[in-house]
Amino acid sequence: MVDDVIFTGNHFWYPILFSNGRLLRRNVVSTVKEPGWRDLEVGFAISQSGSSREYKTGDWRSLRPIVDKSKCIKCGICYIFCPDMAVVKTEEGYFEADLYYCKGCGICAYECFTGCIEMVAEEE
Amino acid sequence: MTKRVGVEVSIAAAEAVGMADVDVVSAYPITPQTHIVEHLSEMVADGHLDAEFIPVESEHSAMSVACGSSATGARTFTCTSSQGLAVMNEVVFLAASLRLPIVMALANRSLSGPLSIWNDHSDVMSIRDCGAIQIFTENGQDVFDHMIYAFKVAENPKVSLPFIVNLDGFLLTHVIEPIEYWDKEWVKQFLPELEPVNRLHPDKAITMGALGMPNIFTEAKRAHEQALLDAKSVVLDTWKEMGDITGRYYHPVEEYKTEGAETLFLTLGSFGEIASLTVDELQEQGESVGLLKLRLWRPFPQEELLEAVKGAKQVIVIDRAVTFGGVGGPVAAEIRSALYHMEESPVITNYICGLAGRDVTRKDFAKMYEMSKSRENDSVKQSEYVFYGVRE
Repeated sequence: MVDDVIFTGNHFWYPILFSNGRLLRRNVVSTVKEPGWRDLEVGFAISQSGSSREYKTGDWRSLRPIVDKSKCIKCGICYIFCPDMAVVKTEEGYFEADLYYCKGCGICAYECFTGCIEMVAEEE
Repeated sequence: MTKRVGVEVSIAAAEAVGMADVDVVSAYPITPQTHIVEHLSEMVADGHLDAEFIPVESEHSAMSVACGSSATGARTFTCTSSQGLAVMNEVVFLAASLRLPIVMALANRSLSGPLSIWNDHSDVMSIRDCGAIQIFTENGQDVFDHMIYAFKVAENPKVSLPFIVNLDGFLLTHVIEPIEYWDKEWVKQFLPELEPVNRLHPDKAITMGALGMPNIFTEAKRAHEQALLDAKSVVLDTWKEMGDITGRYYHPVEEYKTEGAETLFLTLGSFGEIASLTVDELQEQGESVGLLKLRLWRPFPQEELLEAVKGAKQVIVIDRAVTFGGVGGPVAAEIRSALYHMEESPVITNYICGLAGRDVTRKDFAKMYEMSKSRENDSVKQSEYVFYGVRE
């Protein structure tokens, strides 16, 4: 049973499912009351634009990308290939994953020319 | 009263859709719906109708295009039948849950197999629970009126739901009837410009068809259910409004000579005409019999039905589809359920007949009445349903 779920913007909640089938209990991020049926927009539409920004997909992650800056050539291939647009350019010109969205898929590490990205297990 | 013209019902239906000034028609041809769509295509090609006619590669696409076009705020029409509806099925449910005011004419035809092109109600029963407004029509005039009416109800901001107009394939689509066309002024007076509740527009971003997680899905369904229930008052008010213009008033449950009748037939669609002739004959013979014609199928007219059957001892429900392994035909099961809490509810006798266009004549209706009445046929009264006229 899920006791708590994560509020991820508008009317999306996502219970975290571990690969072993157990549901992870998390604290409620937002204290917004769950909407009743009368609160929904006609046809379940979402008129607030850009609400997917609030959708915290980083919670799905079991592996985290770690960049070795000494090997990085700032080519941006990780930025191009990231399927979630979670990679952002830093002021120094390096590329890093925004862990709020990064799902830890590892595509950046796979595509990286120099092998500067390592996927390490999330410990929490 | 305007002029009546002798015209094929399909052509009249298409003309009515044209009079409603539809913006987009997307459809794929299938018997017996073909003439409706063909004629609309001609009207657009000949420049008589300023609309986009989109000939798609399947019914799945027909309804998908209709969803897209309706979502942008265009007045949209589609039309199908039987197997076409089956192909379209998943998108019909989506159109309803997205609350898109698409109007669809459904030329009722049996679902295969065996392969059949003829008329019964197995196709519409397959989308009974899609969440759209669904009505049955009895004759050509009925079809014509409801083609324009459907847009008005569907597009009402309080409703914003697809509207499905059922018309019996061949029995209606392919017959020539005297039909009173609406005056253009009537349409202007009756049908306002479409002001969609939701619209895909660059000026205001909106998401339609978002994912609904388990903790919100039930709420979404409940809201949809309420929309359909609330649509009923608009359906009734708009019938009144249309009647004030045309002089023809429609009702969710049409009653024909039901006063004091002990037995009532209950039919859907074009069978109402033949059944009414039978009622005339039986009454002349002194039988206490009347007829109910269920026009509004969804939202189901529970109150009107209870009122209409009050005092009756028996209701003979004519079903034109089979619910395999179920408790009687789909309509009878619904009626039984609707009358369950009624004090002194009438006996429901259920005949499944007229499948795939098999003729059900006045004699057949009279025979069904006899079978239901006769003491020797108590077995008929007690069985959940009877396949009328089936050869052993």
